[in-house]
Amino acid sequence: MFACILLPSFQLQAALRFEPQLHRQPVALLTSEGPSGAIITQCTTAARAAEVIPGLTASQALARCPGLHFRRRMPAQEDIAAEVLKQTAWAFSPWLEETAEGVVTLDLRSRRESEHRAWALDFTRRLLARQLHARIGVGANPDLARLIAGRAKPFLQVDEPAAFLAPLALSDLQPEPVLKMILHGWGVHTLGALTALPREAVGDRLGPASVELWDRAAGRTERPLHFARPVESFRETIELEHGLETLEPLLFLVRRCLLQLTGRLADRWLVVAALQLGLRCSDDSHHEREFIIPDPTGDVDVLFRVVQHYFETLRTETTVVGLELSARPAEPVGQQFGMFQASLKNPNGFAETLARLTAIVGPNRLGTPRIESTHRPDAFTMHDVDFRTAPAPVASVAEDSPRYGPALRRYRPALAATVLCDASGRPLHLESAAARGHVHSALGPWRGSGDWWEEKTTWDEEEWDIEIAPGQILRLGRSASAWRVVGGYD
Amino acid sequence: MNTNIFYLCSSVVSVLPSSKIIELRSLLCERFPTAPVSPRASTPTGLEPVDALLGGGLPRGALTEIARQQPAMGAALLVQGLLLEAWKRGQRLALVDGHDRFDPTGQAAPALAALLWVRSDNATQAIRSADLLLRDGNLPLVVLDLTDNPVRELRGIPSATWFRFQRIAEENDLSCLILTPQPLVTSAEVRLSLSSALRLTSLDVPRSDLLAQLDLQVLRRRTSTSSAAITAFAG
Repeated sequence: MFACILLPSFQLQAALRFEPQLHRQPVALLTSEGPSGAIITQCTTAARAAEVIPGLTASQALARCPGLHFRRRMPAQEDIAAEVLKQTAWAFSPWLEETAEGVVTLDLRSRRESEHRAWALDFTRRLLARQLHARIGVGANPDLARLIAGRAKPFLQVDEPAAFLAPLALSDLQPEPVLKMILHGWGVHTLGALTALPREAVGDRLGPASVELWDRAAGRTERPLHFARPVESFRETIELEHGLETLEPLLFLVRRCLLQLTGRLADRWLVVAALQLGLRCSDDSHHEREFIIPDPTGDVDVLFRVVQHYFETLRTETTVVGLELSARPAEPVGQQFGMFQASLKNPNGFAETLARLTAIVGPNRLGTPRIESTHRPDAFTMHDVDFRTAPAPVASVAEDSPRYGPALRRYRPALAATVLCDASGRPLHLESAAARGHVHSALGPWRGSGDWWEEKTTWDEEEWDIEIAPGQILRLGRSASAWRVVGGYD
Repeated sequence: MNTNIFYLCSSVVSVLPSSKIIELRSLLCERFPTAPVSPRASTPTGLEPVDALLGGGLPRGALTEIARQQPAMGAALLVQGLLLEAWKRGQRLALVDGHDRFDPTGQAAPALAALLWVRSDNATQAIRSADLLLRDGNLPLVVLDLTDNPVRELRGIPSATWFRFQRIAEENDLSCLILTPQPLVTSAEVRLSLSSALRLTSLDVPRSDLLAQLDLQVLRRRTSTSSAAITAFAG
């Protein structure tokens, strides 16, 4: 047996995936094709009930249904809806064919017939959670299953193909126009009427295409499935017709994307290890950001807070017209806290705290410093905190250079100073915002230079350690004849 | 009027303790002259002067204040020492730098991996950051360094903030060390003063020796019965 899963009005469903409130409203999908401008290609049940049908122009449809909503095709969302369909189907059977846009066929050889209804209803429930409405037909061959799916509400299994096929219209098989015209001329309008004619006689008169049509009408076609495998990609995208100016509606959409992503991953027993966020603005600029989830999780609230704190610090020049969110999957892992190791108790909570801290102090003002491989003063870079793994206690400290003296407190930027020097260049008197007075003693000069081969980063500095008064030790720096107070020892 | 007098009398009678309660109170006072205080757990710092003075380390679930009234008293040295020792022990340390004055190049490069450095511009940012880190509760030791913030900024911090910090630290059972230019933290369990007079000649002294000679004194200890200052080392 074969099952065909059909998403009716697939393009419209894809366009409305993130607007479930419109599923029961009259909505029509417009395409720019057509001699008289945009015409309707697909519409919801509510629109059909108001006599809106494909082929009408927008104005004609509005005349019939004043409350009609219009949407345009969204190819990116259609790709994702097709991927969602395949991924969901893959969880039920590995023998899967992508038959057409929004149509997949499954080989049910490993399933018992008595279970078909149960799994089909489970399947439709899962797709409904992904905001997709499906119809499922089960039949003896793939083509028959597809015909059955077109009439399922939402599930239909046909064990007597002849009785099911006989009343169907000939156009349901989409025959060649010439063949259709001839058969209609013969008074053949249904599949039952066609199969009532002798197969060989029809073939003699109308050629091989008519024999194939006869076989399909009799439900006798046998063909192998062209197996497909879904891509391991978990991505959601939303294209907006009107740009977003404020944060709240954007966060609303982000949450919906997260709900979909975590749901899709949960179907595969996976959780989110990283999120990739992409924003497209109306001036075609892009913002991209990756969020590493320290403790992979499928908890939407945790993931949402991580993204939310980033948005609090984000400013865009123009409105946001597109949103894309991808999840990198990972298997859920349990964590065993070590008795002597200081693992983070709540890694995701910590990541959230870091995001909040970034919102307070600003980017690049938080993290773990790393000293650069240079002698340039105060040369370090800030890096993201990586406290995911517990650090091991260090038995012995092998410092490359043992530290001497008190620690320095640096002024950033260094304070301008006026320094009076003796004939040998030794500081005698200091005037600055940090301190002023006679220099009692001084150590130096400590000269350094580097990066002379780079015009922008070259540096050449002379440093002095001075004591102005007991308990007031400063480091002075001089470059290009300008004195500065670099910091104070403490 | 009579009704009011009756209510007044009955309420007075209910407030006055009976003789049995008075006896019980006096009995308890005889047997337990002071309120029992459970010893508080502590976070060892690895710095001999601090651990010896505080009986094992910084008290957990409480605030510790170190007031540095003059520059060059060793406060930055203490922070660098705390970081190095935390790294040696496989611990982590959060440093909320009130005025972005910490010098990472003065520390052994590997030890910086144990540091979360929050570079604040002012006391308001620092207080908000420390609040978040204390609430987070993932790091056992949070150091809030306000020594370089202007006193005007620090006076603007409401005293309720310190009580809130105290409550959060207690709830999350972590240690919080606050470095200030003058006594400030009203809810600190222990208040120390730092007065290691460093000189220019100290620049040639190994840092480990300077750390061992830190001059700390207890100005106030909430659980202590004696208010006398204890000198750990006055080198």
